[in-house]
Amino acid sequence: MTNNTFESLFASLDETELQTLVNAGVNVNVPATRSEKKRLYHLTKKNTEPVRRFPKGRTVKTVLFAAALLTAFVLVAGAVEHFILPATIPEHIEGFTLQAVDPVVIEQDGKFVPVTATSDGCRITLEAIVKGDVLNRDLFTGKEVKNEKTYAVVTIRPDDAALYEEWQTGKKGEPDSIWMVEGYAPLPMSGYGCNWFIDGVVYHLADVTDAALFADRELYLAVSVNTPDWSVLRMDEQGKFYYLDRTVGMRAILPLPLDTNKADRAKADRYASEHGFITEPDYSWYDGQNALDDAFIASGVDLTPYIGDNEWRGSSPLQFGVAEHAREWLALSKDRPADGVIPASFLYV
Amino acid sequence: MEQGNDILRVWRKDPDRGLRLLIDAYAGPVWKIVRQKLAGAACEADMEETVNDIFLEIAEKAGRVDEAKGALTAFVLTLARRRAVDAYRRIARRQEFPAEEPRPDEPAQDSPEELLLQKEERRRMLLLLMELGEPETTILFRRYYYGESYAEIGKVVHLSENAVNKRCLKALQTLREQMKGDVSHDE
Repeated sequence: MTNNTFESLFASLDETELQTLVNAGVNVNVPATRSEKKRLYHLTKKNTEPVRRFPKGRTVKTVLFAAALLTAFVLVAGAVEHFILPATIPEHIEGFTLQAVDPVVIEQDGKFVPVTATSDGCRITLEAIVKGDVLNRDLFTGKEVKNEKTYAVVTIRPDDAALYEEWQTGKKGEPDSIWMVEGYAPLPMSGYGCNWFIDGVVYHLADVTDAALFADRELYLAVSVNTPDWSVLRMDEQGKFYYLDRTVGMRAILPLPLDTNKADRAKADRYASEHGFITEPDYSWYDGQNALDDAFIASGVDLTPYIGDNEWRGSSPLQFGVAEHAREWLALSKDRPADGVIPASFLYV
Repeated sequence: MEQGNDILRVWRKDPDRGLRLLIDAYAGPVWKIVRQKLAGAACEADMEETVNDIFLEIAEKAGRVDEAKGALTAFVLTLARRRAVDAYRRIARRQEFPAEEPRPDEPAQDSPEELLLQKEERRRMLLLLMELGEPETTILFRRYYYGESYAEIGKVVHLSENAVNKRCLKALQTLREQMKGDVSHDE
């Protein structure tokens, strides 16, 4: 058997064979650079169109949603249905239904205590933990698939109306979150969330279903503009989470109290293994990227002509670095132009 | 990347957000495959156009992917590889590469019997490959599917470049011996 045989074997793997390897636990993950992701985001509507508001005629419902969010969870299932998951969602795609039923508040001493943090002119509050059944209708078979989900409801209230507007239009990213387990490094893909923008308040619904497996350990929800990754969010040697000092923009780390009855050590350990949770992260690559960012900022180059309205500035000073290509220029150019203007050919705008 | 099912569910609720998650999860491998296939043949703009086309096709077809574990990942990688090869051919035609220029993954013009034999050989090798266990399986996959260097693989499996090199050679030797054994049994 030669190396060429192996190359041809892997080159000719069909989808089923590849799936066999993935299922066997082969690590096929390749982290993308921020530039690589950024260069694809234009394919999503949110990068070019405003985030969809509630349709006209639903004003009453949206006001009710905002006002009754905290009390809705104790109402009967039917009433909660369109409070938690606004009725706009089924309209996103024909033949699709989504309902939230059977809400449950995880109680602490008989009462859920909202947790609030302030950051960058924003008040961030973990309002409640709710449970919902999600009904997906398969577009092709028409069958309904029921999934029970647990959500953390976070409200973000920016003092600055302009910031709210920027998030709403997606021009500078929008709030996102990940859940974290004490002792494991933050994992950027460990949760999914949705945002609703209602009367100056961002309602962020974070899917923390899988986190419940770890509920007998310390759990946290990291909230920031765009998904927090290792360029901004770290775990120290004691297993505690923190944002780097260089981080800018709204961010918070909130305790995430989930139902400890859902904890399952064996399943949790398996989940951690399958999802690549690690206890001793190597931040060196991110440190290198941050150092380049910092060097770029320190160089005083004016990015304004190149950033424009489409730039997503998030937790990192140059999140999704539009300057990724400018870094090459920075690294290569010993005789940077005196006016500090970056040659356009180095930038992707 | 193992959260493909979750991405599919999000995609069905909100295709735009689903696409964003698809990009976050799969931009890395897709770029890697495209760069590997088009290196030296295409400029950055061609590569970017190819990656864009791949994600548009993924978004168009994601709804048909079965929610079996790993199905989305396999679908994305396979599609990326095929489209990267298509792009190579297109670019090669445009640039009038010499006919003898080696092309990536050129499908063999074999008879159905030969194709069947190849598939059977792949199946046997895959089984043996998985029997090696980790990190060997991952090392060999990344070495020959992504064409990664030992240093790059080392970062993934948390081993030194030298250690990856040694494990890779040992794994190949083991496979070679086992394949011989299988052949003897067959005979």
